[in-house]
Amino acid sequence: MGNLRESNLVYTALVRESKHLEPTLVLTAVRLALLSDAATQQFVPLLRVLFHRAGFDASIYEGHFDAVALESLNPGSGLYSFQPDAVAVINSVQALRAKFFQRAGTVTAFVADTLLEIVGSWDAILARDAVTLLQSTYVMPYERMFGNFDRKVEESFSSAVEAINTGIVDAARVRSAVLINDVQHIASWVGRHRWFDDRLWDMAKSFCALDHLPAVARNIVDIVLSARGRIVKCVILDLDNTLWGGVIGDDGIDGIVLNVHGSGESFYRFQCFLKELRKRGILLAVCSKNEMSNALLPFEKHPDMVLRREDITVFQANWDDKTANIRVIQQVLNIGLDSMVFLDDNPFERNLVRGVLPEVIVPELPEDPADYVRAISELNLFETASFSNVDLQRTDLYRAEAERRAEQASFANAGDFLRSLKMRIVVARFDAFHLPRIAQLLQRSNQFNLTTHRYSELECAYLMSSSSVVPLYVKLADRLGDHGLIGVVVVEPEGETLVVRDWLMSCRVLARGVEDYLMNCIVAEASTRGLKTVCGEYIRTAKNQMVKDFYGRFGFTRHSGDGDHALWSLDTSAYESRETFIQPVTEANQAN
Amino acid sequence: MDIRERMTAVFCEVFDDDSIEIYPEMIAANVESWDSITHINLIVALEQEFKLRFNTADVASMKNVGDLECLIRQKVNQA
Repeated sequence: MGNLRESNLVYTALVRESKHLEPTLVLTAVRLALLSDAATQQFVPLLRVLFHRAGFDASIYEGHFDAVALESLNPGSGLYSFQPDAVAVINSVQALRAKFFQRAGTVTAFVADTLLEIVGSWDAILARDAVTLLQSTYVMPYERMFGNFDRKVEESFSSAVEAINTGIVDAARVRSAVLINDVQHIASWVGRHRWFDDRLWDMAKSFCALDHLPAVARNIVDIVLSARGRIVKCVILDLDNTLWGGVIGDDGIDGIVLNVHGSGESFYRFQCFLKELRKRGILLAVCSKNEMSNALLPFEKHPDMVLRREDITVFQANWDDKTANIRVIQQVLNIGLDSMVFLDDNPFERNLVRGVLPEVIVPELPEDPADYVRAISELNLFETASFSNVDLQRTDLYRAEAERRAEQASFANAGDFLRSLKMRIVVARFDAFHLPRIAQLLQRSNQFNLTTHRYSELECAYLMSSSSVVPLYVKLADRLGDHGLIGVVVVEPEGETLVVRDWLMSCRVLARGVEDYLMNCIVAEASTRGLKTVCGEYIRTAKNQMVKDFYGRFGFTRHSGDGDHALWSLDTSAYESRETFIQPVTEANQAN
Repeated sequence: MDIRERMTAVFCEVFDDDSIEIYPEMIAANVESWDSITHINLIVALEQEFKLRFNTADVASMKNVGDLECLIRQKVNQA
């Protein structure tokens, strides 16, 4: 991911690079379909390069020119035989303009018809394939028949485009599989007078001036990757000259530069930005070369500090190497290094982290702190494919976890500690209410994930209504707090065997006996159904080494496959039930 | 570098072939990967190299590389 963010995005260079992609790297396959009323050919080399830089080998299908509805409504179309993971619908305002000027009815009808066609295409695609769908917004046109008064006239072209964009977003909000590819944002950022090149549209139906095609391609890659779980979960912050001006250890609480207005306003604005990230579910951690007491001082005493101690999930202030501290933060939070961003004003520290921990995303920070928020925003680091209440509570969840760890140390043995937690578990069949969180967990879980099937919300809905499959979600709560929905187990009877199709859990709840409890449940389920065997599967990914021998630990024997993909089986009569300290409850009782 | 050399460098970059030599009678059919999209890439790359802008009519009336070079010389001299 770091690579993708920092490399320059020059059109000609990217096109040239696309012809020399190294095929030898270990790449994950991704299948992307492009449907557009503009030319898609120019996007293809750019997308292939940008996916490749992120570790993905992209197969790209180009739908016929200006045939979005046709491709999506025809079950025999190339789109469906391609079997994409993701479909990007790219609509151009140039094509919309031509239709607008040829309209027969009212502008209101034009807006409604346009939206009907767009949303109709989505629903046709989503009904057939469980894909991630990316819908572009329309770039606002430049002509204003009424001048500034355009905005007051509902029938003006610009008002119509704005109404269509609003309609697209409204319809996407109630369809979790549809993600917005906000091309209008990119165009307004580069400036529309640079964005449009009408000659290229006339000659070759080019979407925009060639210089800006890479930004659109990058946006598509960012969204597809986030839908596949490549997201930033934590921002690690330096303190001196990053969160405030000056050095707290030398300048003291009255000497550091930080205020709502004036010379310290840029630091104040940066902290507000970070606070908003925290509120939306990004964890904040501190990694600072400081005495702990000095480092904490502004968080506790400075009147203009926006970030407070409770906003910081892990606080590392000492004189150790920063990479050692980042490793500590990584272990406490139990998330991948590639889901962490490190922000430090000091180029030495940035380069050190880049060198030692290349997976961590380390953006360049501009010299002037006034430009921090802008520079970080331009990198689009915080892409996501979902947002739920769990995101809002994440900081609290992780803080409770830190508390549990502290308590654990005071117990004589693990059993006493686990008993003291008074854990309550819910294991229940998928239901509509939990689908969004289930789908999110399926996208995000990397380490404890035996098969890593990234089902979308729609696929989860299929499972939910299946008569043969038993799709279960798992929720856990204890004395110190609610963990929420932390696991998914999907089993299916097949002949004499109960097959475990999927088993994944949030790493927050490992080593508490939840996996023992669930294995007991699975074996009991098999016995109840009179099935003699339980069969489990392990498919290796870059991140799930942790569960490589998971089934072996429960007495399963590996009967086929290798370290990359193995099948394990267990004779149910030979299984000894594991002792756990977890109380089963129903959904209604767990809250109490 | 004179105009012809700079044009050659742009051709090499766009067609990803450092051995390309251009000549006045050269047309799209002489280069394997010269399709409508590469044509656009070429036009835009030349515009950037010579800091000029072709009109739609300019592009439409060009018959071969000789025409293209002629047009570039004209525009560069005007500037």
